[in-house]
Amino acid sequence: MAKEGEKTPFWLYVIEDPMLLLFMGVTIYAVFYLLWGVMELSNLPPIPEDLKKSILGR
Amino acid sequence: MSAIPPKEGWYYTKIAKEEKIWIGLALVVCLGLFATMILWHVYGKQNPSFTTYKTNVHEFNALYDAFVEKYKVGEEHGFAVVKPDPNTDVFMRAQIWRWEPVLILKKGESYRFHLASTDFLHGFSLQPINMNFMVYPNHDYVLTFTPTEAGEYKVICNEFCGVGHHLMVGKIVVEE
Repeated sequence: MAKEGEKTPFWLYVIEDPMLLLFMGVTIYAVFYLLWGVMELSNLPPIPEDLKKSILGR
Repeated sequence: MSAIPPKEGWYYTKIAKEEKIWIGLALVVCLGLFATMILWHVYGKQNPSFTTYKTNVHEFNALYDAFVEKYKVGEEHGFAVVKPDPNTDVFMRAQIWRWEPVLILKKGESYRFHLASTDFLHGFSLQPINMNFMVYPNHDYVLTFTPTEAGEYKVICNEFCGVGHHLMVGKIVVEE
């Protein structure tokens, strides 16, 4: 709710709607957490060659 | 969206001092908990590995077999009994429904454990110390262990992995 004659700012719409806040609270967390997981998994290094050589002996 | 809608323009009223204090306190608690989470990760007794390698069943099995062949000292109920040198890499494999091999370690010496599953998700639960780590297939989890007390320890699976889950018990013996 803005003052009379004033345009209601966007963030007021957002914080006025509890269902939207609930949705955003779950969705934003889920998206970032998933992205973090995907980033971690895709950046895993392989087992170092030196280690493999020391165990396999070749 | 409430039973008693607030007065128009309440967003623009000044926040009272008491409310500011409460908001500040809540923020301090949040930051404190956040810091504890990080500090626990570093100073807690169960520090998960910062090292994980990408692997596959074939590669890990080859490493496991070579490790067992190198340090095998006997057999127990069909499980290889392995006594690796201190400060070396130790390979432990999880598969339905066994943790293998049986390990004999020396008290006070460090070992670099490599844990991997060759089929499903399993859990590495060291008992009775109660240290717990998840073990996914195709990932090699590296944990550095230094046994501080001699005795016999069990490794149980703590992620339900099928009808034989309760039979999935491994053994680590720590010698003086």
